[in-house]
Amino acid sequence: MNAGTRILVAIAGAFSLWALVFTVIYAGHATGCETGWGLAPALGGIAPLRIVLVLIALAGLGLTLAGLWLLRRGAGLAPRLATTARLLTGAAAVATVYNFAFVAILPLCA
Amino acid sequence: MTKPPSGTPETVESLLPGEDRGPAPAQPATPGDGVTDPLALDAGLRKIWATGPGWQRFAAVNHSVVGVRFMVTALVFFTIGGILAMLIRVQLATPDSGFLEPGLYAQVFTMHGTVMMFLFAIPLFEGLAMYLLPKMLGARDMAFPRLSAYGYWCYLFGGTLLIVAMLAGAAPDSGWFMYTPLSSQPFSPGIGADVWLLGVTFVEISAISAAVEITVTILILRAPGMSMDRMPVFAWYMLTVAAMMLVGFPPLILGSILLEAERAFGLPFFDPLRGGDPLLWQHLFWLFGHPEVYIIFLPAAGALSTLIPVFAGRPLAGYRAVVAALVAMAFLSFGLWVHHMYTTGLPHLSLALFSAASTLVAVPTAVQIFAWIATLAQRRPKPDPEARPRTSVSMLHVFGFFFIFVMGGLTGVMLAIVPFDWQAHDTHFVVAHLHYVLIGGFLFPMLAAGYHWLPLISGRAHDGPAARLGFWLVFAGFNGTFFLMHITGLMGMPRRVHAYGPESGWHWLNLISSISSFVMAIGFAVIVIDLLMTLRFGRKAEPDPWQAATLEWAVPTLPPPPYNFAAFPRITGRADKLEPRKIAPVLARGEGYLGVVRHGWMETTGVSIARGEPDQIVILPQQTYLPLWSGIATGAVFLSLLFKVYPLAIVAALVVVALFLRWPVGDHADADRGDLPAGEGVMLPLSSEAAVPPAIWALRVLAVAGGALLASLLFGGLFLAISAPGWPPPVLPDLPLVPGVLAALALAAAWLASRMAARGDVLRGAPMLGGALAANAAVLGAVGWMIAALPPLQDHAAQAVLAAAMIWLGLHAFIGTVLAFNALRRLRSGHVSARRRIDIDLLRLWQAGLLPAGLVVLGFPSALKALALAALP
Repeated sequence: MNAGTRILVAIAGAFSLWALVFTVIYAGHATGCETGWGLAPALGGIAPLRIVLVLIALAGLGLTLAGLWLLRRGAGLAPRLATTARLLTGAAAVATVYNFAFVAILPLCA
Repeated sequence: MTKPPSGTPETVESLLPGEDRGPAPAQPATPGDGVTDPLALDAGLRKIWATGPGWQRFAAVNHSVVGVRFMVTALVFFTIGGILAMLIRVQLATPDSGFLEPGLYAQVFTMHGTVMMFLFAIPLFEGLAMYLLPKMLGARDMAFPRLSAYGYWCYLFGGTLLIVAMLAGAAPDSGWFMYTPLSSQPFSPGIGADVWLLGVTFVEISAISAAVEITVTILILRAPGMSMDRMPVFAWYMLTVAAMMLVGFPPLILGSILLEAERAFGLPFFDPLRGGDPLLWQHLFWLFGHPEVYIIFLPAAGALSTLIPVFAGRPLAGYRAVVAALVAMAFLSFGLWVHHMYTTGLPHLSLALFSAASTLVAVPTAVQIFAWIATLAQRRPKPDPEARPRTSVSMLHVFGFFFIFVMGGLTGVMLAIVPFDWQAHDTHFVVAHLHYVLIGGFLFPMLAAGYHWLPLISGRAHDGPAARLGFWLVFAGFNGTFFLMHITGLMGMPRRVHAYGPESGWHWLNLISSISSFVMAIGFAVIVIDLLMTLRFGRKAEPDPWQAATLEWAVPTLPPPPYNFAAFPRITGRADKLEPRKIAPVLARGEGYLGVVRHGWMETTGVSIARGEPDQIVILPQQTYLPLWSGIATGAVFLSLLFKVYPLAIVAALVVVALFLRWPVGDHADADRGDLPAGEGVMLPLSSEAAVPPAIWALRVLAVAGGALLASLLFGGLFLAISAPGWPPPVLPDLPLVPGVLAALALAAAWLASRMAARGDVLRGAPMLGGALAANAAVLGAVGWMIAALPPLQDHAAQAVLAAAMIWLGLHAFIGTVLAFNALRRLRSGHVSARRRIDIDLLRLWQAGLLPAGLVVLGFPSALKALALAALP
């Protein structure tokens, strides 16, 4: 990975992942509700659609935290960029929790 | 700042802060390198960079000229938009007013919003960015000066089209967000809506071209040594904004094209009776519209982050947190578009997703606000406190910004909460909120920026008390006008009504709003008169009058010469901690990089993205009428579409293509030049021989916009399949297999041929280029076959969407054809060699992107069908 690409990934990667998770959850939720897929309670009385949505959110959070771990020593970036990247990745992790926690709680299609 | 040892002559190296000082200047690499007669150098550079007099002004491509044109034109449109606002306030001043009849009132408020958003706010910051960025970054111009000029002509002509239509009584009247079905043909039968759709799309060409231009300029046209972490913070802001424009504008452009196709040809994308959905328009519009708010705010915030440290006398507090905040804001702003659609009946979970993102975006905004407050709170005097104004006019406007924008932000958080929004939706509360955000977050900062950079732009010092009077009138008038709208809104006054009854109880509040709006207008008039007087009679500005610390103030004269810098410094520390007064004379002597005049070439340094190491000499194009002609031809396309003379539109489009084919730069690229001295002992290739020249970056950046448009189209189709009434259609359209397979194979063949042409001996690549051209033509043929096989497109949105996707593919295959033809032409004319391979690399890059995108498009019909069937009740 060249230096320019590394900067791009470090700066924009975490929130790009947040955007991807946002899109997949929004689209998956809308599609599930319209097609009726996964709405009937299954495992432990939880609808499969909800399980899928929660797993997507958790996967996003896990990857973001992994990114934060990779950035702990700067990932070869200039110090100021490394700090900025860590701030952004941490913020994306918080945003992921704050934004997507609702998929575990709220009524799915009401 | 590291000071040179006593007795050591000042050089660029010795004047810059030292973190990782580069190698000491080597022997002069050319006769002109090192110490030069500054006057001779200035004369030589002016001769090749200056815009000619008289009619030659129409050939101007210089970023200072084009930037100022953008700003002045935007201010003219602002005046027009302001007059429209006055008409609105006169109408609403008293109950049951007969000042404007309802139809005319609808035109007036539609045009007010349209003018302010599309013709004022965006072009104003584009112009400011074009003017400032090369000077801040240490370049002599933007990466693509002709693209700037072309964008300006598109903006001017598109804006003029809208205004002329309004004067002719044919203005759009469906509101600035043109909701369907109100803007659809049955309910807006005239050409007003077409004027909006085509005029705004015409103007958006300038926005996309500016986004490409700004991105590439910031990425690679910087002073040597200016790595990304040393860039002035304004560059970070504009890089982020440009990226947002590349992703945010395509949904609007797509929506406009689809709605115009519905109005002109009956393709029912938004017609619920034929498989369309009016909500699709709302999604596409607000996918653009909400990021747009931040696209407008962030450049103004970038100006604040630049000028507040100047007046505080210390660097920006929390530089890293501010950069992180603005990037976070950019992403989050794309996750809130539905907060304009809370009342459309979405499930609670969807509402929660968007409500959470809407509240979340307040956090990075607050980070910036607190960073600015911290910067001001820790102000300390500079070495010469007498030379620093205590409370400049700029700072007054910064104060206005803080007061007004924070209030607008707080009401924004209120509106982000779903239950509150349900109550306040479409009331004057929303009108108040958006004006507090946009005027507070854009206009006041831009006025601050205007006063701050006025000496740079005009060469005149500003010290008029009238400016303070103007500020207070605007500030008081603004709050008097819009604060009361919070109250009328909460009392239930809907927006966009042309009249209200005396029993409503809104009378006095509206009257005070209207009177205050005239106070604000008088304030603006005072500011304009003051500025005009300053330009005419103001005393000459001294160099770096604010003791700023960024490179734009290191130009040799105020206003700057057309070439900006006679030479480029090596930046060895943060580029917002410089001492321009000391650097300027050194650069003016030609000491640094490219301090020469060579073959009449317009040279500037190109650098690697991350480290800012010089890696090429970018040769910029001379003044030319091509952008003007291209703009006129593009205007002919839009006018032909407006008046439905479609054959003429096709001819005009072909003329545009023919003109674009004349754009490639010639003189310096007709032979291999090898590495040339660039000063400071460095040898660099010309951009035409560089590994990654600016044009390659432009194509990569443009691919982002193309991808965003395709993604929006695919989203639109899938959205209709699961959400629109009337799905699945009675007969699901099936595309024939043969042309689909043929198109896929042809895409692969075009990619392979372009790849083979780029490998090995490019001089023998003509057959491969011919192959790529033929393969793209085959894709075009296959696309035509597939569209012809569809049921009538007017019958159902299913086939209309499929046709739109195929047209996207066909259009891109056509561009591939043009690029292959161009590469062949350039190869035959001797402009291509093993070192000069940009034309072939452009084709290779295009085909490499088109192959996966094309396969997605070809697979889209199957996905659409599967989803439509899955959504069967």
